[in-house]
Amino acid sequence: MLPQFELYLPKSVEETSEILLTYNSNARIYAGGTDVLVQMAKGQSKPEALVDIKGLAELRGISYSAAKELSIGALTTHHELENSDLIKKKYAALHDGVSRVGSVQTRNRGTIGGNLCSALPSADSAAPLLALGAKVIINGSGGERELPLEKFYLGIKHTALEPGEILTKIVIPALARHNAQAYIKFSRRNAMDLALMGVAICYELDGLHVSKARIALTTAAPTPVRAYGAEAFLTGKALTEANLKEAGVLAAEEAKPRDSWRSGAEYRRGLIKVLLPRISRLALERMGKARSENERD
Amino acid sequence: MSQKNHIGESVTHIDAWDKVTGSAVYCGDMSFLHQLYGAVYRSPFSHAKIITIDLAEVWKTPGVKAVVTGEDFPRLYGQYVVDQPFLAFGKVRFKGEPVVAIAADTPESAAEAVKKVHAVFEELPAVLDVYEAVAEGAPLVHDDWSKYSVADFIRPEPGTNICDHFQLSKGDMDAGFREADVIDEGEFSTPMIQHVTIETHCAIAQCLNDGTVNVWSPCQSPFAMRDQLAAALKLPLRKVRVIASSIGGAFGGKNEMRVEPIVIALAMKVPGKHVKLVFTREEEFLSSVVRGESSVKVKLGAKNDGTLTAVKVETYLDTGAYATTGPRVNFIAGFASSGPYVVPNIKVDGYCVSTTRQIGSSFRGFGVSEIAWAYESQMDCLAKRLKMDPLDLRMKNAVEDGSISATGERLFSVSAKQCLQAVADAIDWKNRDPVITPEGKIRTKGIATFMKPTGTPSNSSAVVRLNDDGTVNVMIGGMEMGQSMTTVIAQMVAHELGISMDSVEMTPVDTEYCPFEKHSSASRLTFHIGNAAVRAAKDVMEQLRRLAAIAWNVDPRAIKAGRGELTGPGGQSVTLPELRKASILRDQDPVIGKGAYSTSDIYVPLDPVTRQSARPMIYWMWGAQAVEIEVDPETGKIQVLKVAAAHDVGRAINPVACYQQIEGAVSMGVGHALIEEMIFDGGDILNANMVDYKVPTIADIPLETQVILIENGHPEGPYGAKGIGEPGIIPTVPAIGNALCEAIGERIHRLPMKPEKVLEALKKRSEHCHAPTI
Repeated sequence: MLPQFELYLPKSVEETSEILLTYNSNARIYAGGTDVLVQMAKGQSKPEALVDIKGLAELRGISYSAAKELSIGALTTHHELENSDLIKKKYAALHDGVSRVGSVQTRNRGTIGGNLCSALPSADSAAPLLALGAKVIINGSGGERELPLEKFYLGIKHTALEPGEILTKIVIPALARHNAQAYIKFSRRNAMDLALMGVAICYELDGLHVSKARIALTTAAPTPVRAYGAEAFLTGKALTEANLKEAGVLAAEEAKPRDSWRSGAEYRRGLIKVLLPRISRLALERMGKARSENERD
Repeated sequence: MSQKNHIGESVTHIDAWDKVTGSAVYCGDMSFLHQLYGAVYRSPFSHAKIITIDLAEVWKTPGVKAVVTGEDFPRLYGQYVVDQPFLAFGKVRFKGEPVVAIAADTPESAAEAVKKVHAVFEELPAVLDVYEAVAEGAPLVHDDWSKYSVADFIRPEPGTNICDHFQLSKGDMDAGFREADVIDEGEFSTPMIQHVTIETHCAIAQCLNDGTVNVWSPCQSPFAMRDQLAAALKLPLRKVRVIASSIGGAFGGKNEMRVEPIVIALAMKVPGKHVKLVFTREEEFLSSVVRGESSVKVKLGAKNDGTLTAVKVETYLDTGAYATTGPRVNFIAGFASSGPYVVPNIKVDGYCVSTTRQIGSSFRGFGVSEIAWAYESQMDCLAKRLKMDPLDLRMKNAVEDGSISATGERLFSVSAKQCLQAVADAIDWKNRDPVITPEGKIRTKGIATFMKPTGTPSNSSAVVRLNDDGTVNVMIGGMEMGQSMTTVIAQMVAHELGISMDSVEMTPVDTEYCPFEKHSSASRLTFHIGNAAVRAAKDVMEQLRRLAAIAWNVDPRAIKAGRGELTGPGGQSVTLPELRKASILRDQDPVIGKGAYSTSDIYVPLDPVTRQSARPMIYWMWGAQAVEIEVDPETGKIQVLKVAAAHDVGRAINPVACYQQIEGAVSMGVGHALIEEMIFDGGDILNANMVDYKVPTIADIPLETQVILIENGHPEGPYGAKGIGEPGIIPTVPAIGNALCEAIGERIHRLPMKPEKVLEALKKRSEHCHAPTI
């Protein structure tokens, strides 16, 4: 059962910020509620107030600018992203991620902003967004600021949000015309599960060579992380079987997975080695298919 | 005969509409005016003496109306061993055992009051493993078995934690092994798992000043509960009323009283008031029942041509803190220990062991799943040693009509070989060489079989009450828990009476007015209640014949009676749907058909030492499954592609219901094979929730399940039918294990076959199972 709390329904980001500041750190944002209400029901979180931001229309929706920049409102649900043709076609890695979050019910309620702000190492939308080079837009009493997603994560359940600040938007800058991307989640069962390991990749390609590589991992460290060593290795190279294998080894080396009763660290490390080349091949296949479809058009 | 045939028709489950639309009434949905809500303070230790319990603060909590401890209510109950307190007194025997129960005006007050209990314990050494428990000098979970009332088939070993030692012997085991050209042995184990029913345990109790005890609960066996309660409370059976609510999943898990003793102890403190308690999911894992851990050692001896000469089985089943159904599981497992094979020399030792862990009780398969996982794995190991096809080895040894079973019975209505052949054909066993897919995965096939007994002797009854309009109300005491038993019984009654399914109403079970039923377990209701219901329906026809004779003023012997139809010598006729028109009932004796059925007449008591008997069981269930799996050699993950399942149902009264039982059981088996386990740190469960206790989703079950119904009619079954509730789960696990061994050349001896373990196993090669030559 839920403990008692005050419920606020602010009409603007400014009002939200004021309420949060009034309560110091004793108020929590309530959007989808799939984490916060569960924690409260279990007695793990006892906020004095919940600030329900579902009424803030400016935090909703997906828009794609002429400059090919994608903007996703923090209140956009996983379900909305999963069912967006734009996301499915141009941001396959993100589509892979959001469609593997929890259950249908969770995806209907849960928001992408919430998934990032919970700051769990296993967040399925985080690794794809890191691989896509996403930035987060943060609003608070001090006005608006922008952070690369990498800088948003400070630790487990710990973000760069200052008191009174909320995450309003996620922005994915334009990608190279030819890009290969995907996310793979390895879990104990095939649905409704936490990732034992997740690997997201986005390769921007110049001909056969990688002009920019971004590789991100979930459940491989206290926060979702980039595998910079593997990225550096692949930059300027062709995505050959041998190079992908080496990238997998490098990514596994730089990861710091946990040893837990859910799974051993060594096993998780081994998964990175296997999954990175595997997901890269899938991404390349997808890109090839998209290209041939475009040619037909 | 013009009446509709209902036998073999896949009619829709009669409770489907209510359950799908949410109108079925579950215990959790029920409320009574001014009812109180229960909550439980549970033992924080695996094993400890209770020193003091301070309740002063509890009573100060607003809304608290009743508090009860074990000291207030020092009574014991138990189906086979009367060893379990309503609430712990003296000492606690597992972490999570109920110590104090509290009833309050609201669930919140009750939960708040639980936090105010101050109990002092003195910790005792815990016993968390069966081998530790049977070791010399192990701390005793129960000090003295002789202090308990114990059922006559159980053999506790005094001064030990062995709650029951089952023994079976046939022939001369040592001679059998001397005769063997090859001897192969191994040990196979299973972790503690839970039933994970959608509905958690729940009950409401009300006690009246005249001694009446009323209990509402989703119990599997209402009469067994009534009998246990009456014995524990020293009440006549008539004073205990069990009103069964719809069951939201049982699988053996609702065969024991779990919430009921707690709410009854509370309700006795507040006569007249209803006290309700619903377990949380965490309590479900912690303190309902589980399938305890098992370890099974199997030793097989065979001639070079594959003929089995001897089997030795040693089984350790963890029954946890209290015996509950454990000894009976041990008995059934012991009975089925050597598999559906002709073996001249057998020795079985089954140990049902007490530990300070969660209560191990009945679970779909009733011990035979654990046993079959062991002997069917071992049969494949033996096949490898003999360089024989695993199917050929099984076919060579499988029992058939006339074979003598491990317990000395001349078997009949046997279909072990038929089932094996059916699944071999369905899975294309001839083409079973491992295949590497373009993605680098290894595809292999595996096969397994079993024999499972029902329970004997046992009894059932049915009452068919005829209404003036030709419809009937059918009263039985067995429970519908998703197996579609009530549908099947209604089909039989409708068939016998020549009426439509719409004309049959199955009465909700209530021990106050329903006829006796021993147990809803052992896949026995279709057979046993079926026989009783057919008799009851025939009794209706006999009573009608007498009434028609009076109405028509003819000799009853001159009236021809068919299914729901009577024809008089002068051309008079009546059918049940037209009963009103015939007006033979008017003001005559009301028609109440009764049928009773028991297997005590065919049962031949077992030899107490060897357990040999000419007829120990009314029927055996036969079946086999073959699987095709795909193993990812880089991650260790297994995907089950196809399961072919052939089971002898005797006669499929409702074929779709049979398919559903088998498909559901196979899905459950896949979960047991690949992902399910309760994980512990000492006495602490780490995954007592649905996030970390994994049951298969629709995305995890086999891509294809092909069910083959073998209808080898049983001569004593209603229309030839037998049970099919449990057996589908039994061969799935060993068949997957056998396919895995084909794929990776190594055998995993402990479930579940998790990716991490598969990968570890890939790194080494067993002595018995060699890698495929691909």
